Amino acid sequence: MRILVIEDDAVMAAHMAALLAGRDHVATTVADGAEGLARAAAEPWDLIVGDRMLPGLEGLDVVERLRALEVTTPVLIVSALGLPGDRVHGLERGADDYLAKPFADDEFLARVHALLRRSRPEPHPEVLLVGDVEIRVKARTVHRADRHVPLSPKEFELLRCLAEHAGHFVPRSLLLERVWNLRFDPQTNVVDVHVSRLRGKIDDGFATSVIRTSRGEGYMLVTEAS
Amino acid sequence: MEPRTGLAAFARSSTVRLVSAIAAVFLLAFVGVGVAVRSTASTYIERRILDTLETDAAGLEAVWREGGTAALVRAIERRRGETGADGLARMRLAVGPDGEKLAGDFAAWPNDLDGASDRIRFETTDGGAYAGVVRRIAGGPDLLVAHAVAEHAAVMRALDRDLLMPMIVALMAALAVTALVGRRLLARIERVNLVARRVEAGDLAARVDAAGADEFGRLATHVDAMLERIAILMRGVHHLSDHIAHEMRTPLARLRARLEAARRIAEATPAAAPLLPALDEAVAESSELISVFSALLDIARTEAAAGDARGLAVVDLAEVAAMVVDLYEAAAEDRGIRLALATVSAPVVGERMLLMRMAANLVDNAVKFSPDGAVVDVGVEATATQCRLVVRDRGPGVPEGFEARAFERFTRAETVGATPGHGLGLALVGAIALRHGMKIALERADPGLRVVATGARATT
Repeated sequence: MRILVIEDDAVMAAHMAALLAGRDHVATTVADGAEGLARAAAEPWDLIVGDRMLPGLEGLDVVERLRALEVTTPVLIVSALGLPGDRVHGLERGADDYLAKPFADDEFLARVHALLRRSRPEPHPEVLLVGDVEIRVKARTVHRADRHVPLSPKEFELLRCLAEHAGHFVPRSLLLERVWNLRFDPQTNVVDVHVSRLRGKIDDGFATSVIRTSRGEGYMLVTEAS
Repeated sequence: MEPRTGLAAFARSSTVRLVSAIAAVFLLAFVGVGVAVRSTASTYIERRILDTLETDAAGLEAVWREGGTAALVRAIERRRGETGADGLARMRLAVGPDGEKLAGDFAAWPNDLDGASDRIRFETTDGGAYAGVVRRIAGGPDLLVAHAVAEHAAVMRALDRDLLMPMIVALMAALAVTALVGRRLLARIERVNLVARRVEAGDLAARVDAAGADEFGRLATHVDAMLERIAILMRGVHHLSDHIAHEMRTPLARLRARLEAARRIAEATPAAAPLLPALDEAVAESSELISVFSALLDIARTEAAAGDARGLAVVDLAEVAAMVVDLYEAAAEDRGIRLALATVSAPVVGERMLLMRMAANLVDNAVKFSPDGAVVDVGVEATATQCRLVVRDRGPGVPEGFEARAFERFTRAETVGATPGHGLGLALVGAIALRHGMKIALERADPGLRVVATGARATT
């Protein structure tokens, strides 16, 4: 995928480009807001990642101008202004997602992944197949190796979010946002308890676990059935 | 304090009391003067009347001296029914030396006047009260000229009426002035009070905007200037925190990015494997650093946003509480703790995410400090004007005097022991309450602690 990164901090720009390259994306970095707008409007991109406080043109102005030009490329704003109000403001002005700096790498990649997935022609297939786990989205049922796994509504949402990012680590913050619509970090690891319950149900009677814990930051639904 | 309106508030107002007191003093003085005037006037009128009666009596004596008894009798008969210059009817009587009536309006000499002379008061047998003068002529008849006291009383009543009218007018004027001045002053002071209440509720943009060079005008001007100064300071804090946010987050972001990149390289390089635990710890420490820093910034920016109506919507505290309980239920259950949720619909104006965070922090604390197997009550209550979020645990509570410091940054009660935390949770709760104009109280529940957040009910 071709991704345009508009970021004036060279270290962060290089870091984001390296992260994206690690997922086989082609990242182009631009340091100036006005130049970013010109490139974003002139070429087809799969995703635009933009800072807010930029020389030339403010990041949210870039998004607004792009939307006025009917450019619908998904935009992820990455900003040091990270209050809920800032986020709402960013989304209102046309951004598709908003990530506060400093971010964890997994979180950045998970959000990029989610935006790219959303912009694909079939964003929500009726059935998600990950290894031997089968998730029927409309019926809201889960089977592992053809055995029905009864889940609570929240556990289902958790598994679905993990399945949409299967093979990649999903940070807790993204799970909190997608499942509980919360955009802050509760002090206690409440997500861990919900995931461990989900894990208890989906791994019950199986030798291997399909959910892997990443070092301190999140969870991954493994793709290889074993 | 609840705003008071209507007559009760009007009566309780110091201004109205002061104006009323002044009016009452003036009125009393007026009454005093009235009484004095009436008393003096009464004496004066009485003396004037008696003077004319004496003149009348002297005139009758002169008639007798010139024309004898027959002339006196004619004169008395002629003058019968006449009124004097004062408009009062005169009553006369002349009796001979032996006490026999010669002429006059009275049937006989009043018994109790035997021997009396000069100015007298007496009653006749038919009950009439009179005042008059007696003139005894040596070697001649005794003369009595009087007038009915009732007539004098009528004159005094007329005087009373004349005095009472201006008194009533003065009373009405005093009442009217009290009402008008009181209302006007009250309205001007109430305007300042209203602004103070709005500021207390979080609207820092409220201003009195009152004209006038008097003390009330100056008070309004000073309050406005004070609020303006607060607003400037708040903007400064806001601006500064934005700058800190940007200037500090960027190096923190780089630090974290570089640590994560180093870790990935170490992971991919077998020779660097021994570095991995140290790098993991460094990443974890940077996460910790970032979370403390973010919490501090969130507190500062939330406080700075107090009074800013942008981004506010009607949020039901019941939904917030239900969502937070749903989030924490599983974690609590693992320790045998039950979250008892009891809510009614309680709409407030606020930022949904911040209110969620406030409720989450309170429930988080309650669960953290509860003994295993205890119950944590999460309640939402509402009255016609107020909404309350109540979280009660059965933990160790807080030490005496902690309530005052509880919402300061990095404050932790001694009773928390080894329970992890930075002491920023309640500081953020305090900041969120401030941003929403909510009052927050820590109450001893024995056992445990009850935290109550009270806000104004949203009008729908």
